[in-house]
Amino acid sequence: MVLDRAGIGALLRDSAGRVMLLRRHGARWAARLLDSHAGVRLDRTFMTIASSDRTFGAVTLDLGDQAQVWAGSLRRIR
Amino acid sequence: MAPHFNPVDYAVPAFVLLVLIEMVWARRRAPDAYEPADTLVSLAFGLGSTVAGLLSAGLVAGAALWLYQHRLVTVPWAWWAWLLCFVLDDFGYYWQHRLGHRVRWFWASHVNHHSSQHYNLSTALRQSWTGFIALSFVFRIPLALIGFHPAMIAIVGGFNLIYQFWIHTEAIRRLPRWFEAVMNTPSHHRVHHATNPRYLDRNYAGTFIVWDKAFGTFQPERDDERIRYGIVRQLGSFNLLWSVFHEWVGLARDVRAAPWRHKLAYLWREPGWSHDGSRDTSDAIRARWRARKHACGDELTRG
Repeated sequence: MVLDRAGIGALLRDSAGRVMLLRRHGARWAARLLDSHAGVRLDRTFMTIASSDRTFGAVTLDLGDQAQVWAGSLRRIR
Repeated sequence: MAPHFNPVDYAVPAFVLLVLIEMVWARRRAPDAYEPADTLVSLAFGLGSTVAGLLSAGLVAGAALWLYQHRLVTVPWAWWAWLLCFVLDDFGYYWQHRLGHRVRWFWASHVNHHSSQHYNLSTALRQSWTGFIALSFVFRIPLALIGFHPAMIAIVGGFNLIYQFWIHTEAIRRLPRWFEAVMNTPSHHRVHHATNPRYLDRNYAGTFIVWDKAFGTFQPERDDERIRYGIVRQLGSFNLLWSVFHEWVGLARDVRAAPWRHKLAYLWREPGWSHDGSRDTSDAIRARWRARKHACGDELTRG
């Protein structure tokens, strides 16, 4: 699991390799399983992620030095 | 079904006042109980459903009056008839509500009421715009065929709706035992709005919780389990139109993509059902949760 530095979201991976994007939704949280790496963009430590659910919106997470590692991990999602 | 007296009209000022009082309570005791964007969406749902209800009222009234013309007996306008009508209408509501959760066509409409991740009095106003399309009225108007006047059915239905308003709150924990045993309460209805596996598809009651106890769908609230409100796949959006129609869109997509022999099943099977088993129904979620719980229990026993 990796947390966004500002606390607005996180990425979580389970033992089966599935990755979940968690982000704040108002005063609560909402999540989506990522099924493609098409919506992933990396800019230094900032990773912008859009799930295939368009209405869920895109999230930019500051993952610090974990960004590169997770970018590699997300590229393996087909 | 379009009486001159509609009790809900008179209750609206009280609804607004109670929401404001709960907001003051939340500010002090539960700061995250209200989310402005969520509350605005709930209020827009309430306004839209009122308009939608007015648009379809004539057709529902016509259907009820037609049934009343073919009534089996004539129920008088006596005090006991009002009580009996209320109880029978609540019984009909229980089944309408239960099927609203177990048949995807009905769920596509009723999901609106559950799409908030918050549980407060404004959530009660989050009513569907598409109840008429989902045919929710068919569970209420058969009373006209028995012999209850459609106006009486509409009025007791209004009182039932008013009763269900105040139970949408976290401000009240538990009420006296005798009341919790018979009536639907904030505690029972919190369970209904929960997404915790233990609580999924439980407590469908409108006014009397006895229906759930009689038909095996009752689940008491536990103090050791924090409730997560909303739907299994949270919307993650405050877009009003998407909030209103998302399940209808999802249903249409599923029917279009399904093989011919499975298309109709998407309409009448439970939410989460899929022809290839790729999704989870509430029963599957609960079974997996139970299996994991037992496995954890076994490990603890061995350890």
